[in-house]
Amino acid sequence: MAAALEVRGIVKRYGALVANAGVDLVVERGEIHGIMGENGAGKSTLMNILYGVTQPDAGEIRLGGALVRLRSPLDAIRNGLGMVHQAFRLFDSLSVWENIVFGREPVRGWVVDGRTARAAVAELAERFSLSVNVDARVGDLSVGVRQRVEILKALYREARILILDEPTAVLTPREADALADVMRALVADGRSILFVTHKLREVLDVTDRITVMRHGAVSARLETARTSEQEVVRAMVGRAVSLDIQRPDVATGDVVLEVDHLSVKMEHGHSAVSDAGLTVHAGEIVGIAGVAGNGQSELIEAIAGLRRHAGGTIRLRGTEIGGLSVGARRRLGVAYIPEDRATVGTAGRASASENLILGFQRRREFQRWGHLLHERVLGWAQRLIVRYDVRIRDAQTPVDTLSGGNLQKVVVARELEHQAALIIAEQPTRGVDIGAIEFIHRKLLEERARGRAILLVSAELSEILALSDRILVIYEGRIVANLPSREASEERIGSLLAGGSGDAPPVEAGPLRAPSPAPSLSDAKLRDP
Amino acid sequence: MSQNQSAEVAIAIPESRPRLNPLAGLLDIERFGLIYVWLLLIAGYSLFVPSFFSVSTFQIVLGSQATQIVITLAVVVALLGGEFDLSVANVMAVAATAVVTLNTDYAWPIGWTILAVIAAALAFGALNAFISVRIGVPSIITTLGSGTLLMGAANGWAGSAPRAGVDQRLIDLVSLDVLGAPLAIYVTFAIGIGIYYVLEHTPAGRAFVFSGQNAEVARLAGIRVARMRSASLIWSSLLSSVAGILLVGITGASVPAVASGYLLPAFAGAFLGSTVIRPGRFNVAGVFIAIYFLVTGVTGLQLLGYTGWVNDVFYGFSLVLAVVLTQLIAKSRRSSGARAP
Repeated sequence: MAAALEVRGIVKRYGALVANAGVDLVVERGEIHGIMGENGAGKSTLMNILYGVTQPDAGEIRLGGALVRLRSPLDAIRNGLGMVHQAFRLFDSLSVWENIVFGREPVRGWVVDGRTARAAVAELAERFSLSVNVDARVGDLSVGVRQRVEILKALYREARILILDEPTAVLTPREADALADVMRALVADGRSILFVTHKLREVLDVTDRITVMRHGAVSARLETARTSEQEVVRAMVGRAVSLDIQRPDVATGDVVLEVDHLSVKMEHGHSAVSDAGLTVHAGEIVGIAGVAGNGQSELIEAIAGLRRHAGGTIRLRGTEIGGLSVGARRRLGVAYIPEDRATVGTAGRASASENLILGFQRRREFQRWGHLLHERVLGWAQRLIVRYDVRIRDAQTPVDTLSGGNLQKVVVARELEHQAALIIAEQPTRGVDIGAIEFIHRKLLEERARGRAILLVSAELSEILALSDRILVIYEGRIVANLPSREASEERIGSLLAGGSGDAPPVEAGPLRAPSPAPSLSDAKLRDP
Repeated sequence: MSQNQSAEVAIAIPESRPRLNPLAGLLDIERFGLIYVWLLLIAGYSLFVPSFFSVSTFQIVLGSQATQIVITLAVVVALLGGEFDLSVANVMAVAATAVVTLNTDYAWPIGWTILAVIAAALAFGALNAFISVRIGVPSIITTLGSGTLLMGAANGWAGSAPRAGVDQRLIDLVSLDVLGAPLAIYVTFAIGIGIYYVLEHTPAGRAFVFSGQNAEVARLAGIRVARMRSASLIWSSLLSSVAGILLVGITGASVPAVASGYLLPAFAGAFLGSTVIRPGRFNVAGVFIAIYFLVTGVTGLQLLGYTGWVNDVFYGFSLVLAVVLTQLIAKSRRSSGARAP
């Protein structure tokens, strides 16, 4: 029997960059097929080609043995392909069922038949145990539920092959486990799943086979049962990588950042951060651990000056900076690597050199009588590109052509170049490939050794544990623990993250909180993208 | 709430707020605020302007707005599809000129003349669509240029002076008195209801509206977004030409110079209309309310003795106010979104 999906010799070039250089891929009916690879390895390009979003320069795609041309998502949908994007593509103002049937509404005469549509959606949800309230407004749903809506949307369009693009990146561990169950149910139904991910554990847990990509080509085809973590990593990176970090001892210096009784209120009055206090010393990395939506973003934004605080003090080397503008804070020595590199961290259409000079334009060395000296700016950008190993054609290329990891290196390069006393690193390695993670971790540790104070926020507990000298745990806007890293363990922090005491394993049995922590945590993630 | 009922609500009000009792619903200032302001305006004028509150004022206000409403609907259709059509007023004026010229100078029968003008408007809309959607020039620029070009060419062909002499049957039909109002206004309401129905209750209409809201989401859901964008520009040209034909029927003449007077109220009406009934979204019912609000305001001021310049001041002010309100609504939407459980 012909394979569900067979891809031969796909080539896609963007100018000089070859995103896909002759990719072959075979996905059988009823299998979960993992696609691994660093950012920039060509996974996204390949998936976009399969969903008809981009057209390949060469190569062919067969579905069930038949040659197809996919010129648009509509073509892909008609051929039984479905895609769940990493950033969900849903209308927030519409209800769940309206989103699911959108573009394929059942009609009675000319008119949309809402009753039939709802029933069809409810039945589909039931069949695959994807519990959703079909009448809920999508904008009110948690991330995990929105993902279910996306999956249902694909299933409603009769997708036989589902592409899940980094589906677990936005999920809590529990939601990720639930998703794995759904994936198994779908393949048991004879469908096939293309599971794109960075996370080794997941790919080894749920897939049947794995295709690893590197530099736009397939570097390995593995059977999950017969492979190992090391083998996958080697195929991804081309060498063995260790994320075990050597954290040399550094003598800590004076207090750089001192935050006292800080509170931040949202527009409509509820507290995002209450009475938070923290200090960061020179030569110290302080990690803030917390499940997304527990106030860490607001805390960081208040310190960086992006958000007004309602009370408390923020002192930088003894100077109160709470009332100052972002620019003034930066001049006093605050560098900020924001969580969202694509919209907050960089200007997409601007070139690498323009992005790298942001915030430095006023420096004497770059101007003469108010006129920017482009040669110098370019030279400076070029040096940073080399030093931070940004893979880009040249300094004049717009940064929106870069992969996540490379874009993040641009942000990291610019912010670390500020030589600021305080570096705020917010999710510095999220969605970044292993090579870049290693690189960014090394850079942060170098800055620490130079005596900078670093405030690190990360959703990856392993990252917090590996880098931090001290770990703060934030829960529902309060800092509930402050531990030296040698006293912290994954279990202990995990318990604190969920609102536990840190002594016992948390969650379901917790008698102190009426609702179990998981729903409230996922609810807290309700930020519109 | 029965399942059936909740489905109905969800279709009619995608925001799908919990349904209040009807009386409390009417007090929903966010949705009906403009209507109350309008009623206040009427009450105020009635008190202070003796001649204001009369049947004839009512008839003037109701009946005179047929063309303005159709042109505003044209703007709204384009906006809903995600496009700006700045050529609507020029298309209307040129359609009027063409109807008169073809019917008099060229002695075409009025029926064929109207069909030819509508066909030409469709072709013009298709040209706008080709340049904006296929070639990728923003429609605001495309239609600014093409509308000016069209107007210039029409003036070169038929002259820019007002022209009369169109077939009396057109005038009689459009101005036919039905229960005290001209037929034109019923045509306008029929067009409005038709647009509302298609947009809200047919799959194609929904695909159209939501492609305009977020093209990327729609495209990935399998909607032909390019087709929707093209349709929005073609429909807005079509509606503009209908407005032109109504204009000839109402005034009995074509007056190319009036075109500019219709554009700003159309945008003011479209944006102001998006602050009522369904705040935050361009909507058909809002257009009617907004246009009647605007013309009430202007009529009252005129009866008070202000003329000429007051139109510009009032419409300009209303447009700015409308977009400010739209922005505030969007903001409050965002923050209430963050609060949601």
